[in-house]
Amino acid sequence: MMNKTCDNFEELIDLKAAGWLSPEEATALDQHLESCPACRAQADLAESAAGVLAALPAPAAPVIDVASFPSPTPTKPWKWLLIPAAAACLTLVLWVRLLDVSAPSVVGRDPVPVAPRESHAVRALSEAPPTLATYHQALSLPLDDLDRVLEAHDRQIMLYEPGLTLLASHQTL
Amino acid sequence: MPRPTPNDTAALVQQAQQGNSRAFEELVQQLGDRLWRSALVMCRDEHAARDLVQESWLEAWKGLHRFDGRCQFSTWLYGILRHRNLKRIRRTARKPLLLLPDPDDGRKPDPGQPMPSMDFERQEAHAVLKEALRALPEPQRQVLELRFFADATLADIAVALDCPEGTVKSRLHHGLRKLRKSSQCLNLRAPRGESETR
Repeated sequence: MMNKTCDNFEELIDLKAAGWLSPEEATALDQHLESCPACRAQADLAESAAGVLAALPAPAAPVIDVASFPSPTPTKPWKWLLIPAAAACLTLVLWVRLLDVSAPSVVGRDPVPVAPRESHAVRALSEAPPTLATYHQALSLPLDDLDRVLEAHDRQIMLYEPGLTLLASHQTL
Repeated sequence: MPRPTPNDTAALVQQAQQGNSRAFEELVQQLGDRLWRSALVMCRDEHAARDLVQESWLEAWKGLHRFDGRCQFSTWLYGILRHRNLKRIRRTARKPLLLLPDPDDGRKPDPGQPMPSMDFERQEAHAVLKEALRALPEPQRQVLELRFFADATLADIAVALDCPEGTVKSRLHHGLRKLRKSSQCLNLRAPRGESETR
């Protein structure tokens, strides 16, 4: 009869049949098998089962014609550089296109119409000295353009306060 | 056929990596039968196994430069086998057959003609174990067949089945324990004949 100690060796018995025991495990198991006929019987059964499985017939293996194989692909470590290189090229092309659109037209190419960022009147008033007459003229502009004129004058460290006062009086009117 | 030492295999792999097809042929000779039997276990279909083995060797040849020696060459090869098998299953969308191909199937034995070199007791053991093997859950049966029928190593099986080595050992133990119990049921005697059964 196998006892409780034998239970500890049951897995080792099967692993021994597979040849998967470490040297220490094999030694421990062999020592146990010497003194335990029940476990020896189990070990024999495991070996028999393994032998039967190994003896199962198999169809003949196919012939592998290595000569018909194509030449092995050489290592191409540089091929991985193609992806970042392609990305860099694409970025460059996009930048060139972008700059090309905003640049003045060149000879031989139809001029690309560019919308003026601000009207002629706004530019003239922004560059004019910030006198009351200028502000009066600016009052005729739409409010957004008037803001631009006032900001332009502010940037020039000009009299901004009178302009704001005028704007306030204009809005209350 | 004795298993080649890792040093022999490593030298052949190195030569094959330098384009020596004769060295690769030698590797095919060394590992061909193991790979073929493993393919039979994994495919359960002889024709599919033939294709699988052909494809695996071809892929190994083409990708030989990728083998870096961090594992055994056979283990690397089993990785290819598993990968190709998964592709095959996806391609055919077919469940693997359940039984190991058996040349006896479909052929009735001639009662008047005893099987050569096999006594009755051995034949009975053979039949009982094959039957018990068929009754095992697929994961346990695959491990047993890969280990004993295909002579695959622990690492090879772990790669082929994509599971840890501890799981492979556990499946082998549980499968083999069932086979031992089946053998006991018929009171089969072990080859040595000196042991008592439980």
